[in-house]
Amino acid sequence: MTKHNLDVSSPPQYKSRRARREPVGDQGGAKWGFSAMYAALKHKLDTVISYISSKLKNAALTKETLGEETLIKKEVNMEKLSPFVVGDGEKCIGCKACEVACHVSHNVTGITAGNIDTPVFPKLFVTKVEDITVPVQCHHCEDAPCAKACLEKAIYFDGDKVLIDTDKCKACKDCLVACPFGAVELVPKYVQGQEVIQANLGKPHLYGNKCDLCNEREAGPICVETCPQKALRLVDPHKEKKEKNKRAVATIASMFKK
Amino acid sequence: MQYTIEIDQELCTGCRRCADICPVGALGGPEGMPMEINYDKCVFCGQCVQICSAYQEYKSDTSAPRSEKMQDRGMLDSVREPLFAAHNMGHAQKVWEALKNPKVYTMVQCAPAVRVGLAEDFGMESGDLVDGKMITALKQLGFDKVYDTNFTADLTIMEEGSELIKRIKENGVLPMFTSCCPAWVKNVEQEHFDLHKNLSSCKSPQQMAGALFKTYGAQADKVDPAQIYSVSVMPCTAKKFEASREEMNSSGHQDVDVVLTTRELATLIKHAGIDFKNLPASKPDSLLGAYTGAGHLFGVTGGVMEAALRTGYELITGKALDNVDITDVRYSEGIKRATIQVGDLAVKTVIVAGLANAQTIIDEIKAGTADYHFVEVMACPQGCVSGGGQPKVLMETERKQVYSKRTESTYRHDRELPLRKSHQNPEITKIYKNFLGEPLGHKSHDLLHTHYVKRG
Repeated sequence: MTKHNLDVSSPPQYKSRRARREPVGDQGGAKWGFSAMYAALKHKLDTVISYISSKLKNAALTKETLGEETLIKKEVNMEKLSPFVVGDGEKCIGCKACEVACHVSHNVTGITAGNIDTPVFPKLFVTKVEDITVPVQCHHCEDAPCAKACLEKAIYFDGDKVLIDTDKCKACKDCLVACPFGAVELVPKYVQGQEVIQANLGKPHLYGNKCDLCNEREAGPICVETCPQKALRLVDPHKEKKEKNKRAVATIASMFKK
Repeated sequence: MQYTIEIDQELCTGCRRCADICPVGALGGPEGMPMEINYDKCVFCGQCVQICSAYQEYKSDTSAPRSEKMQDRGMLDSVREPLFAAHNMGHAQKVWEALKNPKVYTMVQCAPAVRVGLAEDFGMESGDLVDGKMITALKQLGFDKVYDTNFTADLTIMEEGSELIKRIKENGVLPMFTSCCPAWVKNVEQEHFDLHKNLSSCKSPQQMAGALFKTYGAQADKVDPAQIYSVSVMPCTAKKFEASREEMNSSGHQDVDVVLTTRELATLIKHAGIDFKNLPASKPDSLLGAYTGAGHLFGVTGGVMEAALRTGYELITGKALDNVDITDVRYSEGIKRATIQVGDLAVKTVIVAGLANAQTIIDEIKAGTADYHFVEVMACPQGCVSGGGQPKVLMETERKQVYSKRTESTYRHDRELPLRKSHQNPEITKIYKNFLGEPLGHKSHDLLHTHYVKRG
């Protein structure tokens, strides 16, 4: 769509500011009665309001149809709700084995602790509030506020996963602010065990780090596999909803059995 | 005072996985709170160290700085791996200083299981046998003499096998318990002191080596034993406690000055900038370095039993044992009972893997229903290959497989060694001829045997 095509509704046909101030024809200001003036003003006001609102509506539509077409399609297709990992606060014991496994799976070659040569940067965060401990991680939200907030377009949907292109990330923190769960963390970049420092700034090179559902791992999220309490599971929201519906029917059905 | 094993109260999340794995119920505390160790019960086996996943977060604002903790734990400042709540006291700093001190004559020994675990901390395959690289690394680190615990494992078989035969022939206290696992020994001293006479009086291979370094080794190298700094590298955290036992000074000095775990050796090698993966192989120094497959088997559950039977068979029957693979005593998954025919004698054995499993056998003995001759107990689940000082497996899901690979590697090394019976070790023959006299002889009694004390 070109910009020209956007202007589907005609703007009100008023003249230039200067022209508007001038009396039109015989209808000089002095000759106008109060009601006539009111009606004329109201008409003008209504025209302007209708113009502005139509412009706004168009602008919104345009943004979505242009830039986030795929996102709209996804919302329509209920079968494809993004899966995500969720923890059970009743089962979680707060051992942080999921965090360690997450870091190791993404960053470490080797199977023992001696192979870890950077700080541990998990993509999920075991959090304790009062008596409840549970890991918090990315929900791969359908409208991905982090992705919307990202000016660099470094956060994107890859299939049903929200991922971060860490090379594009400028560590602006907008995603941290946008995420309702605090699922994104900025972490320093390490290369061969050494922290990368931005030469001109003398500061560590940071990037956004969050759950990628173990995108590179065929067997799926390692945290789910590792949890000794089986407190983590990968939720397929739509499937789970359907199953709950069926269970609900089963419950209701028993009420009508004779 | 610092203990061999500690739980960092700032890092522990109170998940209680260590309490579940502790074989002696030494870990406890209120629900949801950091765990505390009951040192009257703890045997320092370090299984809690292996399972703990509560690490110090990056720039944590709720705990003391990492550098401070590393100093407290005796770690080298070059260590990069995360700090976990359950940890053992480290001694790599001390060893590093000793190696730099020209006035100190350093001797080192490595336990069998170290060479099938060490590779893992350098990103190599689990179970990779790195005996040769390990020896080269120790020489490059600057140890004056690189000896081997595998040698004294063979020596242990000579002493312990002879002791078993003597007990059987002379109606001594039976069943005899193995005494090479310091966690098991401490457990007997604490919980079952009435059975302490069942423990073999043999020192562990580590302590036999320690006593010989500062006597036989010092003589051979013409060094003043007071100048010798005796280091051992163990897959075990309880060995640190064992070396510090007061009575372990039969050489006239503390026999083993300091114990490093396999993990600590890896940090020392990295600290020195040694490219471990690409090291050539070399052999341990002679006199206290040669070993047979039997000595190497001490690293796995059933290994001491198998090694003892290989030698015991030939000592008792006077005949050569053709098939040395005594598979009936291998792969105990807790308690394995096996009767082995040795000439006219049916030797009844039990192999206990995992200290908690010893209780069943102890109950049988106390009830008078046990007719065993020889009981091997290793506190760790699959013997020393799964010891508390071994490279820490990060994924619980991989642990079992890793331990199996270390075990298989141990058996493979045994198969591939030219000599597989302890009494065939030429350096064993030499040490009895030139120094010790005979098994259970006077000198052996002084240097290689010990006594036990009631604890707790």
